[in-house]
Amino acid sequence: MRARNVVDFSTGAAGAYCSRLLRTVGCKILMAEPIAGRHLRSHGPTVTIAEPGQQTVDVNCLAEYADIGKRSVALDFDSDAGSAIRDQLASQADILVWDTSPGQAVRLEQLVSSAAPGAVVVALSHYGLRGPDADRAGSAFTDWAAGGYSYITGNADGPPRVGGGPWPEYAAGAIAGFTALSAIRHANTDPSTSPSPLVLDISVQDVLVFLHQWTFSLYTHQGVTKLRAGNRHAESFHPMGFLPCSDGWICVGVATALQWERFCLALDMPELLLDPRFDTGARRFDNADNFNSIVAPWLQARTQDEAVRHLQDHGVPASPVQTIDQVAADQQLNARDFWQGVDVQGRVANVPQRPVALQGVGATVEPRRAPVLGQHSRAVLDDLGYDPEQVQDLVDRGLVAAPDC
Amino acid sequence: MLQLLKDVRVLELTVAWAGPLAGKLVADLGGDVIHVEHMNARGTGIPAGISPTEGWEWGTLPEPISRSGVFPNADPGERPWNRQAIFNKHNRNKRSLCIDLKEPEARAIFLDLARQADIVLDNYSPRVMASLGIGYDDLVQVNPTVISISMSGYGHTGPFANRVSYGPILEAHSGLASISGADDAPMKLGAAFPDAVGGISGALAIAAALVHRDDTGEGQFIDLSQLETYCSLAGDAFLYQSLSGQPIDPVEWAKLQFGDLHGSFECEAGEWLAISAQTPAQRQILADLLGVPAESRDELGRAIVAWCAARTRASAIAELHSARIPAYPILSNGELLGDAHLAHRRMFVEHDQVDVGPISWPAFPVRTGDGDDLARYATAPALGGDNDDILRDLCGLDADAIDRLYAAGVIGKEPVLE
Repeated sequence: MRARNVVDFSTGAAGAYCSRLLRTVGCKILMAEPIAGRHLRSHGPTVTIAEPGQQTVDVNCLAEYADIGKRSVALDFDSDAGSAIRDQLASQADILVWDTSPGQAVRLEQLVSSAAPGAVVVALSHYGLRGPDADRAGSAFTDWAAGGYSYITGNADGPPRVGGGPWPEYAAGAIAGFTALSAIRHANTDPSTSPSPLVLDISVQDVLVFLHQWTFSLYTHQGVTKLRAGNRHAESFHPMGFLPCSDGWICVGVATALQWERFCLALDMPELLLDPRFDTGARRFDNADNFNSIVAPWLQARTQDEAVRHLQDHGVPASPVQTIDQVAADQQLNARDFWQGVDVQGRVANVPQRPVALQGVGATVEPRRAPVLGQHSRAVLDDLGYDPEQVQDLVDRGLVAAPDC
Repeated sequence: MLQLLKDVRVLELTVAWAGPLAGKLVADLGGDVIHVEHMNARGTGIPAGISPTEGWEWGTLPEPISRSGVFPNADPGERPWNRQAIFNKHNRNKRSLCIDLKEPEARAIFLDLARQADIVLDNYSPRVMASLGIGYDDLVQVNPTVISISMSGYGHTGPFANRVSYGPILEAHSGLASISGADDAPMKLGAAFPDAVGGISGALAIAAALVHRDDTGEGQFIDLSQLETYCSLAGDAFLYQSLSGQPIDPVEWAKLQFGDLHGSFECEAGEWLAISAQTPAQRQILADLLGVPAESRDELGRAIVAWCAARTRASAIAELHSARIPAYPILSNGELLGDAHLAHRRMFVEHDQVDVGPISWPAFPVRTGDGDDLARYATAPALGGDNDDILRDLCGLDADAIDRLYAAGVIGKEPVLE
């Protein structure tokens, strides 16, 4: 596509992932960060890199991944000069990204008033712009609860659990990207009716509530409260979850009658096909403890690899529960060139290259790294028409961050 | 109402959640999404003579034989294939063409529709579309700028290309289950999140491909691997492991993600809430609230447990909110359906569902800054409910021709018992 300009004023994970996704489909991303760096740069997992004789460097893993291929300008948004630059950048954007994460120094109204007609302003927050709880403090952890996933995740007799990252925020960023691109598309075909600019109110809670399979349907249709079921899938399918082998865990997925038949034959247990306790997925779920203890010896006698191979050979969906380093070596992902080598402080790390490969987008992205804070401040201000003396003056006064690089 | 994708037509050949979700996102924003399905795609109903509602009470799971469909009042009714929430939830706003694509005449009909479509979307295993004679190479013959997107589990290439996958399979294979939870065992999420992520990723790819085509005139074939879209969520974990060479322990990883003061805590009456204090300022505020020093993580942890246990959830939440500590009650499906904030945001919308009546569903989760809707809400289609309109209006067939297709079993409105 013709590269659209995205100016990202967000400070948290949802905005970072939204603009990352837009970058992977061909947009150009400029992060306009607060002068001390945005919140995401200093929160989340870090790795300390220590080269002999060099200072140690803490690498923030969330930002270093999400920011690959983006540019960064860093401004004191509270100053007149910073505000003027903010408005200039906003006016040139096709898509603006904003959020309510900690350290947000820009107000939504400022962006909306500066944005060009036909621009899209993505406003991400934990609870939305409107509603009695819009102002509530939120976080990546509480997102899982607010969206109804914590209640249904974890063991039946244990506490509610969550996934291993700010994934609801990422999902919100993805929905935001989809809607923003749809608006861009709409403007191509029908510019006269596009409101200008279009502000999109995206609440992470709303997005996660939207992303349930049949959780709410169980209640609206049958009054059933969906409960935690551990590593079982819940109510109507079994096995459809994780079972232990001799050296780890596998996932077995039996959803159809044919797959059930193949599973029994794969384990050389045809008698299970005649057992009334196990004749439907729902009945197997109801009798899961019995079922699991019957198949346990077969699984415990095999490694992950042996069990998965055998089940797959018999037409039963199965996969190993892999660790992160096993995934990095995974033959399917490597065969499809999924990994991208990214430069991190002089080292190369392998990260996912894209969620989806599209035509018209380069297979690799330059630069192959995330920018340091304000790395492109001078270039950006030059593009806006500032001369080098003006820029240096702003840097000297602490209104623009522009590290020497 | 602004309908961003109202002039987009999609032919959708999908099952389960991920594929239908991608199509649903387009349909919600006004796209004409034609769900192309075999007569038996929604199941063939339950055996005669079974009365699944006998003895059933509201609020309890139905008998196993009829449980998986999620029927209203546990009752499959006369036409169970039209009454399943597991289908209706993901297919609202769409039209249904019920056709047996293995019949000789069906392929010509499909290609005629493809000529008039912007997108052909499937989530079948990689060989299926080509084997039906409607793969990308066939589609471009009739529509050179068509966008064809195939959302398989593992992608169309590579040694695992033809493996069947489900959400939990991808949670396992992707590594994300191994970095989740807080126990020795890997942890599965309570809903098939890979399907959710795959679906949104498909929709985003569709929107991007439409913009690309607007700019260049080019269509394309998009080979979406749901595994890859899910792995993409954990780029930070792959980067961490790649640089550190260290395995990732889910308990320690959760502290790195959410701060070392986070967790689910039980209040009076067995009600749970979620708390996380991530910044030093929040930690101090929490310590002050609990009356303990901020320095000792263990002491703070014990204090939170005791504090929650001694209170109702409502009062705990109220105090935490006043103190601006991120906290939220861990609500069930029924509790969220009654939540005042979600109700204000109109996050549950009721519409009439064919063969069911009015029922509520989660809404499209984006509105304008002024609170205006962007999505429409109409019934998921009856099986084959739009056959006649589609064949007449888009394929130019007259009533006799359509009748012959019904008689020959090429199209239908009910499952066929084989």
